[in-house]
Amino acid sequence: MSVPDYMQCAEDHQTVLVVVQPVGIVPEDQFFRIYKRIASVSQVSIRDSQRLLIRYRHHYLPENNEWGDFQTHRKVVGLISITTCASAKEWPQTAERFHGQKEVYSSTLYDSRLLVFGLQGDVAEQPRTDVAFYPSFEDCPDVEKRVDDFVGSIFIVLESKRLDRATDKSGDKIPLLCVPFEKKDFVGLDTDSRHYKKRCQGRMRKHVGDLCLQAGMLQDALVHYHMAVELLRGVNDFLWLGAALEGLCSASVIFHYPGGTAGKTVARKPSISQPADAGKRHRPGAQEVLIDPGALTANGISADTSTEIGRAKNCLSPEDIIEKYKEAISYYGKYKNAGVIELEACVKAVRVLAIQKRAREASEFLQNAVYINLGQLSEEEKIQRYSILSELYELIGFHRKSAFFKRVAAMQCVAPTIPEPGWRACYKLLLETLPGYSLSLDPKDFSKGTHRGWAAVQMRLLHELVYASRRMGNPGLSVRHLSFLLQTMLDFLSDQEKKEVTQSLENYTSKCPGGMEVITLPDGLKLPPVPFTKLPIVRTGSLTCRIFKPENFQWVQGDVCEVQLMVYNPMPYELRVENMGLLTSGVEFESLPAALSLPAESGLYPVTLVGVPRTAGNITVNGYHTSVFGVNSDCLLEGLPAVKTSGCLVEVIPSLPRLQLSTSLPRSAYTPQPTSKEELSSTVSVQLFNGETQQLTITLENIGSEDIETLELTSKIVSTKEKVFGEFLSWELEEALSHLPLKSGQALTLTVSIKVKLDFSGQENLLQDLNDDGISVTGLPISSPLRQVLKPRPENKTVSSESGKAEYSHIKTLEAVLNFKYSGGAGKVEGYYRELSLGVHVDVEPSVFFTRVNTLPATSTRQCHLLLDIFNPTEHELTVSAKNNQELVLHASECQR
Amino acid sequence: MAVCIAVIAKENYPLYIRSVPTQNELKFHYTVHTSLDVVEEKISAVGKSLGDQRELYLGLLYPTEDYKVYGYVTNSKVKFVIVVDSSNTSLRDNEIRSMFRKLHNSFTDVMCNPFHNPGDTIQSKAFDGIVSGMMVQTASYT
Repeated sequence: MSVPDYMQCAEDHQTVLVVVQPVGIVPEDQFFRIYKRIASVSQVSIRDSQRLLIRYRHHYLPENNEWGDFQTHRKVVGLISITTCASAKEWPQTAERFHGQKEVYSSTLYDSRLLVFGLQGDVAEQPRTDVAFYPSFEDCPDVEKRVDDFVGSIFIVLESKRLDRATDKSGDKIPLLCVPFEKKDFVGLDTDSRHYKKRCQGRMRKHVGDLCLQAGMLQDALVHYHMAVELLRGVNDFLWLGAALEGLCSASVIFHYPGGTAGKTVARKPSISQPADAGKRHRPGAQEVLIDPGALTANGISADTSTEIGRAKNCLSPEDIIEKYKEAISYYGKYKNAGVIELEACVKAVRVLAIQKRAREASEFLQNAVYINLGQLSEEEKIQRYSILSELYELIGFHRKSAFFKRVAAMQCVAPTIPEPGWRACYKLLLETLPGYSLSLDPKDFSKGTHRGWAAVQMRLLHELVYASRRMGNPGLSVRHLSFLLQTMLDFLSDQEKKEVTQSLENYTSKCPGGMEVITLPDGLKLPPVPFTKLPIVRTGSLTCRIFKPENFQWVQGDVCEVQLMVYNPMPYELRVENMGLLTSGVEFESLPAALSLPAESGLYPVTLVGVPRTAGNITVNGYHTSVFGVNSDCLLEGLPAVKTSGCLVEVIPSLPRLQLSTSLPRSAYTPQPTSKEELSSTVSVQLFNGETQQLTITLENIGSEDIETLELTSKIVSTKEKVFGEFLSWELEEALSHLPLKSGQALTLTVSIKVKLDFSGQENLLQDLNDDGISVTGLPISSPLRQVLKPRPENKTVSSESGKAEYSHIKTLEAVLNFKYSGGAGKVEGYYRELSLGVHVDVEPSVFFTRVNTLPATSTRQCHLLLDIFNPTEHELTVSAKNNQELVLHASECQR
Repeated sequence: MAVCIAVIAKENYPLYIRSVPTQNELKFHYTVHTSLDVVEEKISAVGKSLGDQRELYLGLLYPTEDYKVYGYVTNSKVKFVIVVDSSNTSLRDNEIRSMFRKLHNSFTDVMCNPFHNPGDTIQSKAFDGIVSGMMVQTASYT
């Protein structure tokens, strides 16, 4: 016996085994349809108190059948064959085959049936108890009834066997029951010894116990098992002692847990005759409070006192069940050939412990089961074994252990020794291990917070998923898993691993580009898309506000609009980001994608994403899309930890014209500081002498698509410290306005004259000089002697002129902003306009200083001569003209009177 | 002496894990990870019966073919796991206990560091030193 039945559970001991097999050629789907109908008859009530439970198998090794004496539920007692037979001519051959099949299990068979499909006519008319004829697979209404009758006949045989054995009191004739590997050990043994007889008796008791259990006589079975244990313990017949103990356990489990221990795996059809049983069934996985029926009856709640007495005497308590299982397993462990029995006993005990919610003890049984050596196992058996271990660990709530064994099973599916590795099965099993490693394939779960898990183990699992999916021939899946690995485990990958992962990702994506669609697996599992929000990482930080301009910010339909992001590359090598553009909702938006290449572990790097809104309305910037390593990702702002906002609403207004401005004067980099809110498109600067006038020609070109219909021009002087005489900036707009409306591509020119007239007088030191002379400039008559005082001070004058020069060459600046307001097209209708500002920066140099003022009495007392000392601080020659056409030429830095 | 020492946070993610020889690290990750099943089971079992009075030392979690895995849980549900070689029979329960106590003391020191953010992985050199003292010296292995 080499193949264990991992699905076995304690209550299977009370069932009888019926094998259902096809004979000849039977279509598989048809066979299983009939099989299912047969299997639905799992319980048959006989008389009032007894019932028979049936376990159906469509495959059973005759080798296992040989252990039938050891535990009778392993014995094939019934055979139902299903066959097709088209004509009467084929009938003899079919009947022959049926007999051949019966031969296989002949030693144990109680009864058999043959279901023939397709045969009609004379042969089918003959009434036979063991053969039923049906015209077709569809037309067989009484299959269940037939099976019911068949089970009834099995019961009669069972009952007769039980009575036969039970009443067999004389010890002389008791045959020795034995398991296959024991047979040769007993050759030549003294069959007359007390020891031998006791052994025979013990084994037979145990056998009768089994039969009683199968016949539904629980109390009798318990009594027989107890006696068997006593007998066998006396003769140290350990294997059978183990079996007797296990029988005791099984019977007790059946008593305590009428709902069964198999859990969801076996769906027994609840019989109408015993609805109470079905109701009491425990679900091991559920979180309900377990009410132990044994404990209840012990407290005297049970009404039926007869079973109470029996139970108290013979039935094991829930704790004892486990103790006896342990003992039984330790006895089985003494026999190398009983490995399967031991393993199955472990599994059964685990299921019982799972119901009792004693997970730790269950894990000890499982630990033991892991080490049971069944000799050479086929790969398939190994997979089955690991899978079942995983399932059992899951049953007792050891999810990590379960995941571990499932993963081992998955790896076994593709072991190098297997000629045709089952990558699909491997992949499926690997997916099932995910919860055990607290891994979810939804990147959203990861972005919520910091990583919480076993990175090393999780990474390994992800790598295996990638590999398995690739071998399955599904590169799309590999790309998805690899993307997930890169996105979520980036912080845990070494530089070398990053390189390897990205290289293989690029390999896969060259065949199958990754996208944003949800991948749905055949079993319904959905793999959400994995956007690379970390490649590159977007950090807007304090810039968020400026980038997205939340207040009073509008975009214009048809115009190129920009969003700036600060990104950085966390990878140790250059990162190529292609097709990077904005994701928006609202109005129609044409994104103009950009490609960029970020150097290795770059710092923050500004990226400007542009696009053109095609219609007016509200637009929301939700995020951006990228293509990295051949994977297209849509990254939403709400998923980015560094960005607080979940999107940004911008109003798009109808289209407006656009002007481009150029001037006759050179542009300057100089920007006037107090540029309130409006931004200057450019600034011109010019240097002028005080009083000079300069013409500034401004050319305005319509570079937009709409006509310019209105144009307004205003100016504002920025620096207000200085007193400005006259008009600083003046212009004639009429001429320019006559060109309106200005069509697209056309230009108009406008001349603005810049006139600077500043007051350079009244400077402190100038007045100082005058005061020193004691001269008042208030215009009082000044006597001539005073003039003499002045004369002998030439050195003083030079000093003053030198210091004066430094002082006078002081340049004053004048700044103004020319503001063009224009509008047109659809935007004008809604009252929108555009502004274009030109900064004008003028450095004003003084041209003429009047350094001294003196009066001389003139011929008339009513008049006086006003003497002015004029100083030329410039480097040029200049002419001063007065009213009476007197001209005075002043050379550079010259002072004349 | 230990071949692997791990500190696991309340939420069951590793705060610290070190093993010798280092080339087989992943295997120990698996061992420690699966041992958490037993730890959880033990904690929940104790919680039911004894209330808050609880022995921190959990004893042998499970033996594998090559290793023995011991567990220890602080009152704040931080778990310590020590893996020792099965062949090392001289090691007694008391010694394992004292190792855990030393580990716990050092861990408390780490937590007292005002610059340490509870929940972050442990990077303390002092803690590392204590762990190194308890580990098998790699030299004796070669």
